[in-house]
Amino acid sequence: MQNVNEWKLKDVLLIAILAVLFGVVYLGCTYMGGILYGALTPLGMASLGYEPFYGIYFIAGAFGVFILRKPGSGIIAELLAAILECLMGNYFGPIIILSGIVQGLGIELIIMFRRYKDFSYGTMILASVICSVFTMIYNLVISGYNQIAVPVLALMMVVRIVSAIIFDGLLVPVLSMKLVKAGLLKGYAVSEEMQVEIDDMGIVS
Amino acid sequence: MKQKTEEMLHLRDVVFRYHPKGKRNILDHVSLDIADHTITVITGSSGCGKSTMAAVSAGLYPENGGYLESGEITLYGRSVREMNPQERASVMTVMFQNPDLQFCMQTLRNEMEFCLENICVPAEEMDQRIKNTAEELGVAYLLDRRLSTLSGGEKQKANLACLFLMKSRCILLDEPFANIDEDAAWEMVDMIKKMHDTGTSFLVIDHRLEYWIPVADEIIVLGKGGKLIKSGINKDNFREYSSFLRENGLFYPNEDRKVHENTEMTRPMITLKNLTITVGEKWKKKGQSEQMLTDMADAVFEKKRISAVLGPSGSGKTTMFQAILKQHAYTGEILIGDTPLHKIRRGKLYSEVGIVFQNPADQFVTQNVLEEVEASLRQRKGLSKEEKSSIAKELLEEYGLSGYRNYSPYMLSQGQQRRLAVLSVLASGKKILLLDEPTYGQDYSTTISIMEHLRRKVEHECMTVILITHDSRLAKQYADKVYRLKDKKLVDITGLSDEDEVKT
Amino acid sequence: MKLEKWNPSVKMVTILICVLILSFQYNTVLNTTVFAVMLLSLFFFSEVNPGKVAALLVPAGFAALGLFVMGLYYAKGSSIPVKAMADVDMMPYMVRAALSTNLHTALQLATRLLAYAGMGIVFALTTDGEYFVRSLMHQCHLPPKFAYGILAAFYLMPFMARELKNVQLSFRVRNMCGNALHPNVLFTMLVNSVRWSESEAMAMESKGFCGAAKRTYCEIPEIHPADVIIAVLCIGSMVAGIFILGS
Ligand SMILES: Nc1ncnc2c1ncn2[C@@H]1O[C@H](COP(=O)(O)OP(=O)(O)OP(=O)(O)O)[C@@H](O)[C@H]1O
Ligand SMILES: Nc1ncnc2c1ncn2[C@@H]1O[C@H](COP(=O)(O)OP(=O)(O)OP(=O)(O)O)[C@@H](O)[C@H]1O
Ligand SMILES: [Mg+2]
Ligand SMILES: [Mg+2]
Repeated sequence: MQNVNEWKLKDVLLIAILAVLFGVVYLGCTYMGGILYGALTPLGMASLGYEPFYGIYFIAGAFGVFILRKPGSGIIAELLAAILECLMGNYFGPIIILSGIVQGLGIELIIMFRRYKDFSYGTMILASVICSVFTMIYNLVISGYNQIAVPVLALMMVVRIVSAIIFDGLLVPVLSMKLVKAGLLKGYAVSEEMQVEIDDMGIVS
Repeated sequence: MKQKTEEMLHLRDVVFRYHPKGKRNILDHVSLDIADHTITVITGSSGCGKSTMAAVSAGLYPENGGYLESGEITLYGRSVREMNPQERASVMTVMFQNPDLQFCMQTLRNEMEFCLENICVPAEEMDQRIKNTAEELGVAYLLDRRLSTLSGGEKQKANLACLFLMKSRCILLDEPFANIDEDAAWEMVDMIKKMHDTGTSFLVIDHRLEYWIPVADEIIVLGKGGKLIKSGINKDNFREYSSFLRENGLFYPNEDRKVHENTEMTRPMITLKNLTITVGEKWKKKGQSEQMLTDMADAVFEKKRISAVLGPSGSGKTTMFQAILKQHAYTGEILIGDTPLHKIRRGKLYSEVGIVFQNPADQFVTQNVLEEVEASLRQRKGLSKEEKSSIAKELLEEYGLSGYRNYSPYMLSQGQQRRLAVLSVLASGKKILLLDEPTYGQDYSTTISIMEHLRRKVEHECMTVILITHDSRLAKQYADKVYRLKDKKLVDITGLSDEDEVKT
Repeated sequence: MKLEKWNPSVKMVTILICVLILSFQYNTVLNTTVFAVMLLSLFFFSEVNPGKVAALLVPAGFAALGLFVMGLYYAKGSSIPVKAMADVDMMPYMVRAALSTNLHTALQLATRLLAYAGMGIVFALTTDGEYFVRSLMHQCHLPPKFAYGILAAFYLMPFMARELKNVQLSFRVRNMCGNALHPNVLFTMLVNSVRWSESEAMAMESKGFCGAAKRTYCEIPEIHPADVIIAVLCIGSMVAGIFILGS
């Protein structure tokens, strides 16, 4: 038997494909968020326009830890997503890889402390909050947000946290569970820890 | 060039199921031995576990899903569980049933390079090997096309080319000709025969035995639970078994009887006038220019009739459907009834047509077989909830899917998925049905029952059905009108025999 | 040498080092120079279609503009209380006041973003995806399992696009909403992703792909002295720029 902590090819593919899917969803959302962005620009709050969708940014990492549940799954998932984003022609190029590392670390940290055993909503929400904070620190350094007034940053932080909680803390577990119930994530760590019954007539759950 | 027969594949007492805690074993104590240097054909009713057995034999399950409770699987005397994919590939490579999702590179050339890299072929030899195989299989023209733009049949050919290239000791093919036209399929059979003569073994899963009877060393029949129910059928003793096969609905009796005759004209429902369809990016660099699929083609598809469209792989049948569905640009005219297509709003159009895609998995909108049918029934007005669910259950019963009510559609076998797709489109009560290869991957008896059902519906509910198929006999038996997409035109070949057709 | 030929891993590392250096500089002129140099090098040392550059510059420009206005109004230590900003009557004066005190910060923020975007665009437009991943595999020791997994997912994109079209159509012909961002459609796509990953993995393994075993490569990206020289030149001129332009 293989080491359970080793990534199988299908794990890599699952995360990579999810990263592509949500990369496109994120683009779609920012496209729609463009209006919000435009409206906020004259008010000087343009960057706030991106914040409601910020959570989609780390969805690959969140899915990674939640579905695979092995050490490094969050960071590696985010790295995969970042490289893919690079390939898809993001205008930030390899800088995305830096943010990927930060996001992956953020999402995985608390789960690491809980030894990859506790995946309750509480933990996932906490992970999303930590991840938002990490990315904000990253923005402070890299994007120069340290030059911006604190109240504005606080507002952005709040929106970002809410977005992360919705997308990563709640949506990811809910979607994963739905997938498990549809019998699709057989053989992944999520399924093993969930009791799904199946009989001749299909899944009774 | 028969050598001493040794054992190629050996299964003993294999118990496999998809869900570890499930009660239904897909492979239920299966034992099987396949000799080396043979062409062995496996057949059996849809959903009996053939594809599952293939994946288990090649060591892809349980590695990638499912749960192997017990059993021993050896390839050439070595346990598959102990081999890594590279070692397995040197003894057995697999072509899967679904032609989509088989590639990981951008073009066929890159894919073939990937295959050769996997088996450690030195870089210098790659070009020549790729060239040779591609020419042999007649896919050289596909080498630098993007795999994502290939038609279903072209994908299957491309995939065959990859496997032939790798030269493993045994090649396992799961319905290799499902999307390939008959002429090309016969050529492939010849090729397989030739490769077999140079020492490669073939294990083929197929419903259409007529391709294989002349070349197969042995045909075996699997039953429920993947159990072996008959073996040792070959071309010499085939007659003895034909009644057995017929009773089990597995063999296609060799008769050219026309089942239905409807010669008088009714009103045209879909009319194609001077239809020209091109594919490929217009503004792409010069070399990769656009390609014309139909050129001023005309056709009339009548109301209350079944019309069939035949044509070689990649001739543009699926794209024609796309055009009718307003998913692909065209020039010329398409009339729905009397109204030009461009005057019909999308919403209106979609409320009248039902579709079955070439790949049925594209079209499921729910996570449950029963709901899938009910979602279609919802479009029929004036049905109460109870009526709907009883109709749905009846239909599922008729299509042999009632045991799978609570399954996710993605947990069905390919043939079952296709039946579900056809069934739900029939349940929707749409007046125009566009069916892209509705019967491939079905055994004989289900093919007949699908076509009979379609026939009844067409006559009672005044539907218009256009179906794309590669099965010319089926088309001749059930369609009132048969077109062949040939040389960029739609030629009416209704009632013509093959010889007549060549003459015209 | 064209930028396309520059070894992608070296290119990536160079850009990352430059980004890290820039992120500790608060120098508008330096930022602007970097941005300009990037655009010029695209023009002179690559075969990139200008249309593509423009297509990426537009969103980057918007982002920079947003950041600029933000800096203008809300720079740290700004003399304008945040509350007063909503006061329309005061606006012209406030804007003027803000201009004098915050312009510097605002420009810094915006030009920094542009400098990053310039470097990012150079990378995005002059790097072939497959070459990049191959280079990551050989130069950065990305395991083949990940490298080919990434490539497979990347090349699956057109299939996903087609599948999305089909899924939308299936929803529409059943009188259901087929908007791409509708939850039902998205969930179906999610389901498909899982299905794809399984089939792709099986297809790749059945073709003998094995993450651990030895394999040959039809082409192996290499690092030539020229690659390193360019990298050193880039980083060197960046550092020189800091000293010349002062911080
Ligand atoms: N991914 C899956 N998850 C759960 N059950 C599955 C899955 N794939 C197939 N099955 C079940 O296993 C059974 C056998 O499927 P399999 O695909 O092996 O059939 P098959 O003999 O190849 O049929 P066909 O001729 O229609 O392709 C089916 O009844 C199906 O319900
Ligand atoms: N976007 C595209 N770019 C380039 N070529 C394309 C594109 N889409 C389709 N084609 C080509 O158009 C041809 C027709 O494809 P289509 O899917 O309509 O064939 P088909 O008749 O349905 O074949 P099959 O029976 O194999 O399914 C194919 O050769 C295909 O490669
Ligand atoms: Mg099958
Ligand atoms: Mg087709």
